[in-house]
Amino acid sequence: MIRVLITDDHEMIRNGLSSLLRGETSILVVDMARNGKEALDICGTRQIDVVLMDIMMPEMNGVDATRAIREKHPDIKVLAVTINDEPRFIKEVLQAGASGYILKHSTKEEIVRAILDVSENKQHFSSEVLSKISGQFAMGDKEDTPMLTKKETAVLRLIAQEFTNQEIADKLDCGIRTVDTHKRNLIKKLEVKNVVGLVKYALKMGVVAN
Amino acid sequence: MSEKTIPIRPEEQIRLLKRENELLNSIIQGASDSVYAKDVEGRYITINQAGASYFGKGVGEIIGKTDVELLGEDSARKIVEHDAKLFESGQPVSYENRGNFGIGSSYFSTTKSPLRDSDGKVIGLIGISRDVTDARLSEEKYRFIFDNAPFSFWEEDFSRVKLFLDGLKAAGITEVRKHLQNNPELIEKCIDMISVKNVNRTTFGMYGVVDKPSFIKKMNRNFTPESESIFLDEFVAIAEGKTHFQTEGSFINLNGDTIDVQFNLNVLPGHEEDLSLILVSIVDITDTNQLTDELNVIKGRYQSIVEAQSEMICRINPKGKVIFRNVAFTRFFRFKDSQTETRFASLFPPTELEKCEQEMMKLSAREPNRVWELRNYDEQGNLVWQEWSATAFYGKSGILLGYQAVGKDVTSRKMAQDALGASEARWRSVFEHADDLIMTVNSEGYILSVNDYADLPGNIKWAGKTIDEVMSPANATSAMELLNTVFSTGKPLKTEFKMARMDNGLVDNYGVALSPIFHGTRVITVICIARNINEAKAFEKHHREALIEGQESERMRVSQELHDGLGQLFTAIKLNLQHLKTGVDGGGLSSEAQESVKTLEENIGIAITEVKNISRNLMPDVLWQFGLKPAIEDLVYKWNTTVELEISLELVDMNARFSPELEKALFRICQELVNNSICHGQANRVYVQLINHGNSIVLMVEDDGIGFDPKEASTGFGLRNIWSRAEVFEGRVEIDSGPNRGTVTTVEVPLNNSLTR
Repeated sequence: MIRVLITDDHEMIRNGLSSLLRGETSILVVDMARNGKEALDICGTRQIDVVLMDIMMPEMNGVDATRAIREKHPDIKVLAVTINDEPRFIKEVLQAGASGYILKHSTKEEIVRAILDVSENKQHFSSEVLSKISGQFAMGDKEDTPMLTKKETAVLRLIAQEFTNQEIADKLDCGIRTVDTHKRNLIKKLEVKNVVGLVKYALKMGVVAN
Repeated sequence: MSEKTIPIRPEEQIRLLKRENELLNSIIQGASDSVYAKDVEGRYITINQAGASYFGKGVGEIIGKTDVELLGEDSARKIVEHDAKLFESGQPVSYENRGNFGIGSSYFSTTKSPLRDSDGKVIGLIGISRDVTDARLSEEKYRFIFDNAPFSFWEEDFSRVKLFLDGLKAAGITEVRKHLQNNPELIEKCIDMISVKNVNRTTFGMYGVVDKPSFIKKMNRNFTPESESIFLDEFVAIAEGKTHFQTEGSFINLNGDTIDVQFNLNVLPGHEEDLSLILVSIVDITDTNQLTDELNVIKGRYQSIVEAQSEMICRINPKGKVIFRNVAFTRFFRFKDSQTETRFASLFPPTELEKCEQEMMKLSAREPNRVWELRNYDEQGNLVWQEWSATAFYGKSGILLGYQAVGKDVTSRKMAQDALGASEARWRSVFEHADDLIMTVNSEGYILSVNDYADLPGNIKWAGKTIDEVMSPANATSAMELLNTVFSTGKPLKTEFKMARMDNGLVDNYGVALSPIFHGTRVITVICIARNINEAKAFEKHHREALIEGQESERMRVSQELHDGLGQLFTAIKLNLQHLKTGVDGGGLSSEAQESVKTLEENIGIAITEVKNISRNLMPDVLWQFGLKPAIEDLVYKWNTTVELEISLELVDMNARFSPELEKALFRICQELVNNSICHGQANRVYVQLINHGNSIVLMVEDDGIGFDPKEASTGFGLRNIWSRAEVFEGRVEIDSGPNRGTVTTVEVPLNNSLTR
C-alpha cells in the first residue's frame, strides 16, 4: 500500500484527486495539505511514501517544499502534479528532487501509473512534459567565458588604447554615461577590479594588439 | 751791366764776405728743411741742425760719415742710388722716398745738385730734403675716403667741356640750356668730352660692374638716355661758372634697375679756372625715396582713417597743444583755422580742466595710455559725457614726442548705466526675496552671486565658491554639464535636477531653469533658478506607482482569477468527469454517454490550455515563483524559439530575489525593450544583460538594428512606460541611438534594502 499525501491550495483539486484515487487498492491517501509548509509538517509527523505536489502555492511553493522534504526525508518521493507545464517549472522541481511530473488533467491511469512508478524509485513524466523538457534542459548552464556585446568589445578595445570616457563616447557616437555603464559592466562581468584589469583582459583575449 | 762798380777795400771785402757767410750760415742753420753737402764718397761735409735732427743725432756725429754708416745698408740704398746717378750724370735729381730715421716713418721730398770746383769737376753735392709726411698722409686719407666711401665718387676732367661751353658763349649764345635742349647731340658731345680720371668701389657696385679700367673707358656708355637731363643741368651750371652743383634724378643702370640718385659736383680747389679736376659724388637715394613714399602713403592713410572716425581725434605736442585734429574733433570744439595752437586741457569746462591736466601728467613711458571721463557741454549747452583715451608716444631715448587723444560721447551709456542701476535695484529685491534659489554662475562654475535662499543645501555659503565645492562630485558633474550646454548653445534650459545634501546625503528634487546672460554674442554668465519640487515629485511618484501598481495588480488579479478560478475549476471538472467515466461507484454509462463525456473532456482540455495561456501572458508564473533570472531566461528562450533574430542573454549575480514590484518592473521593461528591437529595430542580434552591481542593477539591451532618433521617439508610449517604471525606483533610463547605428538602452535602478529579499 502506497501512502500518499495530496498537496494543493485548491480544495476542488484536493477533493478531485482524492476521489479519483479512492478506488485504487494499492494507493491510500493518508492526508491532504494546503501548501508546501503544511506538507513538510505532515511529512515530519506521519508516514508518507509519495507526496503529490502542486507547485504554485502560497506560504511555501512546491519547489521549496520538495527540496525541504527531500532533504529531511530522503525516503519520501515527490511527484509534481501541477497545472503548469512550463519547462522552467519542470526543471526547478526536478532539481529540487521530485521524481516525476504529471499534469493535473492527466488521465486517471496516468496518475496512478505515475504514483506507482515513483514509489518504485522510477521516474515518471507525462508525455506532454517529456516533449517540453527535451531540448531545453541544457538551458541556463552558465558558460565559462562571459559574453561581450559588439559595443562592449568596441569600448574594451578603446579603453585598452587609453582613450578617455569622453573620447570613447565621441568615437562611438554615444553618451558618456553609456560608456561609463559599459565600463562598469565589463569590470563586473570579467571579474576584474579596475580598468587595468580590463586592459589586461583585452590584451589576453586579443581584443587589442599587444 | 750798367751799374757803376764801387771799389771796395780788401779788409772791407773780407768783412763783407764774412758777414755774407754768417748770414747764409744762419739761414741754413735756421731752416726747417734738411740742408747738407756731401763729397763724392758720400761723406757728409756739412749738415744743418734740422738735417741732423732727421737722423736723431747731433751735427758732430754726422760730419764725416756716410748714409750707409748712419742708416744701415737697407735704409740707405735708395739714397746711395740717387747720389750715384747724380755723380754719374752731373745732373740734379729730385725724388721722394720713405725714410726711417729712428724717429718713425716719414716721407721726404729731396732735391740734390752737383757741387763743382772752379774747373767744373763734380766734387760733391748739395742737398735739400723736406719732410712731406703730413702732405703725403692727407693725400692717402683722401684716397682712402675716396675709395671706401659709401657714395659713388668720380674724379673727372671737365676742361674740354669748359672750353666747348666757353666757345658757345663766345659765339654769342646766351641761353645755354635752351641751345643744348634744341641740340641734344651737343649734350652727347659734351658727355664724350668728360674724361673720367678715377672712380671708387661704390661706383662699381652701383653700376653693376667690376672692372675699373673698362668702366672708365666706357664711362659715357654707362648712362642711359634717361639720364641726359642730369647732364644738361650739370653743363648749364658749368656754363654759368658755378663751382658747385647739386641735383636729384633717376637713371637706369646697366642691370636695368631704376636708381634714384643725388648728384653733387664740386670743382676741386686749384682747378677752378680750367675745370681739370672735378669731384662728382652720386648718392643712391632709391631706398630713401621709397621709404619717403611709403611714409607718405601711410601718413595719408592714417589721415584718411582718422578723418573718417566718428570719434574725436587729435594730436598733441609735448607742450600740451593741439597740433592736429580730425573733422569730428573740429566740429565738436567749433575750431576755427586760426586756432592753431590751443592747449588741449583748455578745451574743457573750468571744472574739468584740472582733471584733464592731471590725467595727462600721469601718462608715462610705463603707463602710456589712460582713459578718463569728462563732462562737457555741446553746442546747445547740454551736458554731455565724454570718454577720452590718451596715448603718449616716446622716442627711443625716452623723450616725449607727443600724445594722441581719442574722445567719444558716452552720454547714452551713462544714462543707460543709471537706468540699469535702478532696474538692478528692482532685480535685487526680487532676487533676495524669492522663494526659489537664484544664482549666477560663470563658465568656470564659479558662483558669482546667490540669493538668501533659506533652504540652501549643505547650509554653507555658496557665494564665491565653485559648483565643485558646494555639491557632491556626481551632482557637480551633472550641474556643469547643464551649465556648459547653456554656455555653448546660448539657449535657456529647463530640467529637473536631483541634488544630494552635502551633510546628510538626502536627495532633493529641483526644477531648474537656466538662462544665458549675453555680452555681445558671448554668454558670460548663466542665471539659475531652482525650485524645490520634492513634494511635487513625491506626489508624482505616488501617482505613478499607484498607476503602475494598479495596472500590475489588475493583471495579477485577472491572472490569478483565471488561474485559480477558471483554470482550477476546469481542472476539477475534468477530474470529476474522469471519475464519472470510470465510475468508482460502479454506475456504468451508456456508450453514447461515454462518447459525450470524452468530447466534453477534450473541450475542457482545450479550455484549460486557453486559460493557462491567457493567464501566463498577463503575469508569468515563473517570475513570481522563481524570480527575475529564470523568468528572463525563459522569456529569452521563448523568443529565440519563435523569432528570426538571435537574442543573447548575460545575467551576472542575479540569483537573488528582489521586491515583487522591482522584479515585475525590470521584467516588463526588458520585455518592452526586446519587443521594440524585434518589432521596430530590424535587428539581427539583440544582447540582453542584467547585471547586479550590488548597489544597483543595470539592465542593458543592445541591438544592431536601424536605430532611431531618441528625441523623436522619447514620447512614444513604450518608452514613456519604461521611463515611468524606472522612475518609480528612482532609476535612470539612457537611450543611445541614431539612424543606422543600433540602439543601446540602459536602465539602472539603485538597490536598497527594501528592494531585496
